[in-house]
Amino acid sequence: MSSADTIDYIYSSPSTLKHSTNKDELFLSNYSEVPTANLPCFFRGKLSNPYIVARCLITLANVVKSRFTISQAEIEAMKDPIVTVGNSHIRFEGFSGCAGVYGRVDVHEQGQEDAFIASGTTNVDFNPEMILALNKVSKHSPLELSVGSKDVEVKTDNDKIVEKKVPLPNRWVKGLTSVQHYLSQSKHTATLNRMQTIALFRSIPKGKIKSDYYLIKRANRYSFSPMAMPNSTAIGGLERLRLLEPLLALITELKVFVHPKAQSISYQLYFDTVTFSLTISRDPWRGFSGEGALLEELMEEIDEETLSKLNNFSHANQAFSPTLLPIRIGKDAQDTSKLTAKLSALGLLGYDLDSHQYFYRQLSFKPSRILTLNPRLKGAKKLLEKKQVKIILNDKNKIEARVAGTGVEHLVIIQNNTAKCTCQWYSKYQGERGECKHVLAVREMVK
Amino acid sequence: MSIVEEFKKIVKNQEKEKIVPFLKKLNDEEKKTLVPIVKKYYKVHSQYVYGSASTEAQYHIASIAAFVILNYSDFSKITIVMSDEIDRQDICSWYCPQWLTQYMDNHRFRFYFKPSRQYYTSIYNRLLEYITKGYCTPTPQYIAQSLDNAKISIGDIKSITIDEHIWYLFAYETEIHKPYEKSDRYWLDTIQKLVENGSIDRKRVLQESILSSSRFNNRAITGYFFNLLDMLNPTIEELLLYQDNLLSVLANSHSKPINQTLKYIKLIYKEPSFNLQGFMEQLPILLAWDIKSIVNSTLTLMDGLIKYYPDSKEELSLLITQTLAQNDEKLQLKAIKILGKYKMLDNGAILDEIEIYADNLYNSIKLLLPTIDETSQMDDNFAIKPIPKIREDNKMPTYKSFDELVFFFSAIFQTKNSINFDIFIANIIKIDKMITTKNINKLDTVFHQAFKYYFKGWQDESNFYLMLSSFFIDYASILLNRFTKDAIKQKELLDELDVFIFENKRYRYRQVFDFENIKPKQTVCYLFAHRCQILLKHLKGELNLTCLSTPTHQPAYIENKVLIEKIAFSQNNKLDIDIFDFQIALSRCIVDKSLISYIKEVLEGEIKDIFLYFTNPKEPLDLTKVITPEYWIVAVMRKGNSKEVQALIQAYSKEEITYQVTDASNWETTEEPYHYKEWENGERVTKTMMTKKFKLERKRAIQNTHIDSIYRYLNICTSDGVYHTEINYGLLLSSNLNYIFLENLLANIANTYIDATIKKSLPKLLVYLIDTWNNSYESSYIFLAYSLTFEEKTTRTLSSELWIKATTEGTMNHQLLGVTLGKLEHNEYAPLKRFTDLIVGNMLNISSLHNRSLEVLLSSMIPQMSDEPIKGTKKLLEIYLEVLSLTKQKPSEEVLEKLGVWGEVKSLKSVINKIGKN
Repeated sequence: MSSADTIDYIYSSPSTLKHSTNKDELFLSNYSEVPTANLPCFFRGKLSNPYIVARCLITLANVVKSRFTISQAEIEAMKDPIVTVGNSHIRFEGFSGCAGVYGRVDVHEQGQEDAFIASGTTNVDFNPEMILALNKVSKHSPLELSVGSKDVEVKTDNDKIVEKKVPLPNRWVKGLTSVQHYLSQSKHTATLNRMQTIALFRSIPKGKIKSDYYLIKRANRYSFSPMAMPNSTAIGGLERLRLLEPLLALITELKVFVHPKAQSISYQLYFDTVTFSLTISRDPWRGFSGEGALLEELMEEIDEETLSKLNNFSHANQAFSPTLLPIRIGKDAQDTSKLTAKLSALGLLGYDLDSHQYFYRQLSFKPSRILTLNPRLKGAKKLLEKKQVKIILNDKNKIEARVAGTGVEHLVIIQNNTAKCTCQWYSKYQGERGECKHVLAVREMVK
Repeated sequence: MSIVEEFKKIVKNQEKEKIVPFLKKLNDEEKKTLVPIVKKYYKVHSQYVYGSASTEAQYHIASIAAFVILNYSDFSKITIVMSDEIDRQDICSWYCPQWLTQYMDNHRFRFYFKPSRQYYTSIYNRLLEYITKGYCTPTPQYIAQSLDNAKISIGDIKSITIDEHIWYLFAYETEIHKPYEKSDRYWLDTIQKLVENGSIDRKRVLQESILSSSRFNNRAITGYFFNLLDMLNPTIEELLLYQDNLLSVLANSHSKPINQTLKYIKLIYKEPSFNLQGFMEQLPILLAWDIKSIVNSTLTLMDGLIKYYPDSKEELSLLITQTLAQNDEKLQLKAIKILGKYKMLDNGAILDEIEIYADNLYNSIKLLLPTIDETSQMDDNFAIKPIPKIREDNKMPTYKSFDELVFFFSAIFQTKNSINFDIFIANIIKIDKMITTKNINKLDTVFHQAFKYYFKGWQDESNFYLMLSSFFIDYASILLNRFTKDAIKQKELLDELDVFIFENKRYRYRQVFDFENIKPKQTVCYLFAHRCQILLKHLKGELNLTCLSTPTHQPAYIENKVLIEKIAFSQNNKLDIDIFDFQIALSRCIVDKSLISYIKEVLEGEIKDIFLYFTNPKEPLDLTKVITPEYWIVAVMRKGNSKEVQALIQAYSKEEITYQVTDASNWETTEEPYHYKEWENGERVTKTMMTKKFKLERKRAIQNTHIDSIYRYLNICTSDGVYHTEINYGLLLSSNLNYIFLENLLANIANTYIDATIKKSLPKLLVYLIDTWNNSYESSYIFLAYSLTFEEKTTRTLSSELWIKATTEGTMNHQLLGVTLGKLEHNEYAPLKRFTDLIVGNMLNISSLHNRSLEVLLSSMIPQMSDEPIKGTKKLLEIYLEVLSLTKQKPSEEVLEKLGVWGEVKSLKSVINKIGKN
């Protein structure tokens, strides 16, 4: 395995949970590949609902450990979740090994004592012993959480340094960017109380589920049915939702958010001061990493100056307002929606389903990695380099082009901003999984 | 002599004793020179293992050389097993590769079979030796995975194994739980003995066994360690010492550890140091379990807790109400009884909490709770609401422009929708007229895909795709004749095809489908092949074809007016009508009675007579008007008058034919012996088991008539391998009369074994059937009853959806379904539990209309069942009692008669008495 394919998590010490008679102390060791984000301590404070936070973190660890389409060998190296701390919020995010399930724990302002030392995003060490210890956290014993070194000093005790060399979590990095875009387009479709939620999850058939299921409501009861109803959304790999089962009995309510083209469904569980959201992809074999929802935005590079201005006025977890963007960074207002999408594609924005707002966070991976990850993007650039794109017609209403494929020239037509291609990728997914390399190349060429 | 030659000589002369001295003297450069020859020789001589090519000595020489010369990447590519000779000659004592640990770690997953215990024991012993000598430092996980299947006698277990390695078995996922045989309990017995003789820390074993439930997702591994815990029989003191760990077991997701932990809690809850608060935190999770035994044990414990801790009565009672979210009547009853026992049913807070679950409560439970209105939640205004088949929201997409059609065809090989094989025909006729010398190259991808599909060879897909690919190959020739210079891609592909066929002549490859010489077969595939044949004739200019059967609305309906317009256009322009196309069109057409005068106005000849007969329910069949019976057959069948069908068939038959509307009346379920052979004590013995059989006799009157019709081909051929494309295509060919296809499908399922592809296809078939369910033929009900009790849950759930929708639309004969289900379950053809679970989970309390329908269904079902009640009858009767109570109905005389017979059975007496009192 070459070094380019791996990533090193270097933690100064392992994460731990110490139990004592009057309180529990959860220390999460942090590491970021981005040097500026490698601060010694981000947060230190008490959590008001320790039992719930512990159960949610265990569930997140289960999400991270889970896999639905890849083999055990591929998941050997567990990918640590990331945490974004700042603006009175703590958000833990993680993906399943196959990148088709995205889990997030949001500890809201009321859920902790305000003790934010710094803001930023970092990887945190989720080791099995710490997860095991989380099982013992109870409702009534106070829990003190620290993200990063408690002493605000970098520990230099070499014996305690934890190094994890794991395959580069390409799926993670790509998934983290595109899932936010899907979340931003999702609409709230249902709210269920605890009883309705338990009954709903009881309708999930046992074992591996091969056919699509739909969330339906009948006589005030929600259930999953293999039969589509008007306005119901298809869910593939329904068994993935079982990850939420251990939390259901503790929730106050559940909200369902659906992507308009059924590309993702989010199940958000509410526990007073904490929320846990689980977002699953359209099918278990489709990780968010393979979705090309934002490829078009990534074709055009973002200039350094804009990025730097953005960094200057944004802090982690701070709500991101596209309306204020032109004023702050001096961009044309027309560009803002595209710029927002682009920032999301670069992993600089997360999305909050409740407040319907993006929030700022910089992923704890080098930005250069994100740009080099997508093969369709690379393919499109290669087609342009080799001059394999021929524009046949380019007027106001219609663009027609021929683009080289394997042994044949594909026809690409873009009309009313809807693109179609005769290649197999487009034929199979009909644009649902983002645009094919042929369309991307044509769009770039006619710019 | 060069280094390479020297090595070759050692191998050739099998000089095993010389290889180590030879390797020892090599420097790094010389080792590099040897890499290619060592790799080659290893490959050749390792075949010794399979008993050929070389000698044992040559294999040993090559394996030692490979170990010393090659780097990690090369060594791991050529072998997954290190030769024992490396150990025998203790190579590591003078050369220990840096990659040894990595190699051992990475090769643990590469066995395709499970090696023997002896093999694992030798692996572990080698590992111990390597560790002791400092040759490698394997990861704890690797050590655990080497030790899990090893078998060492207690006296031989080394201290490092007891002090360190055994604990890795508790910490890492291994295959310790997979026994070689049922009686194999090696590690359980060994650890128990080590605990008993004091060699290992008992308390640590107890703690680690408990922690396994949080550590592993694998149910079998946690179950294994909880067996160990059970064997060690922990004392009250030990349980109290680890009670925090035990409480965290309750929040995990495997039932066995939870049930076992609840038993332990029962032993300690009266102890002063019991962590009541901690246990109460886990109760919501326990009460939400879908395993009845967990909820039941929890409730029993809570009963004891309230008694012992009266101060926590209210808090515990509030928690008990969460049981009411369960769908089980007995659990609901138990919860209410506990609340009643402690006088909590007049507590306002408890009653408010119960109110939340009112929708989910059984009527018998509501009767125990005066504050809950037993009918308030049910929508009594639920009435039958037929949904029209022709609507705006189910209109089929249409493709008008050349570009739209190009994109349609470029996606045709990816299609999963069977109806596209139909739409394809009309669209080919459409696009063919639009092709010019300028735009023909836009179709390149379509032809490219079709030819590549053929070149790829046999694929596990439907015959439809091969026929489609063959069609485009023939169409390419047609276009090449028409556009000699401009059909460049077509020529290139046809040339490639010639070369391919020439080069592959000596191999078996599949044939391009020959549409000119189709052999008639009574399957839906033949119908599609025939339609492609006719289409190719049209494209060659031999016919001037119209396509009438293209659906206008999903899933496969045709608007009556559109069909009349199309036929009128065909008549005016003297277009050719394919007889099967006409039959399919009529089969899909939704009759609109208001069009009678329009038909008179625009149609002419025999077809006008057919449409007037077809559209006007009062118009009788006049045989004197029948010139081409093939045009009439579908119209007569659709009207469903047996006498008219009989008259038409008889008029064109030489022998006497008796026609029944449904041919499926002769069916039954039986129990038959099945003989098989098995090895027993070294001898081959014949054994017998009883199997349930479903028998259906088809009389095939409609299929054997001299009038050729689509009904003859509404069949699937199981010997060809069945795919859902064929099944759905068949169903959609006869949207309004699909019972014939269902009957044939059912006969196929019944008379053969349940083919895996049929099993997979049933859910997709049911989705189509839900949209097309409209008839009252017995065959459809047999099929539905069969699906309602089918082994796979998705199929059952979809069948219940069909029942719900058809009940809402008023197209379900509940009495007929009940009788059919009763007959099917007479001999317990399928476990009754499948059906009763389905009722509780999906069919009960949908609306008052559905509850009333369910009452009719069950009242018709029960009298048909055997006098000797089958397993699950009690649950069926409990549901029946609930339905009677909800609908305020009384059991019929027929049901009471059957209950009288069943009343003799002790376990049913109580519920039968309640039904009698209803």
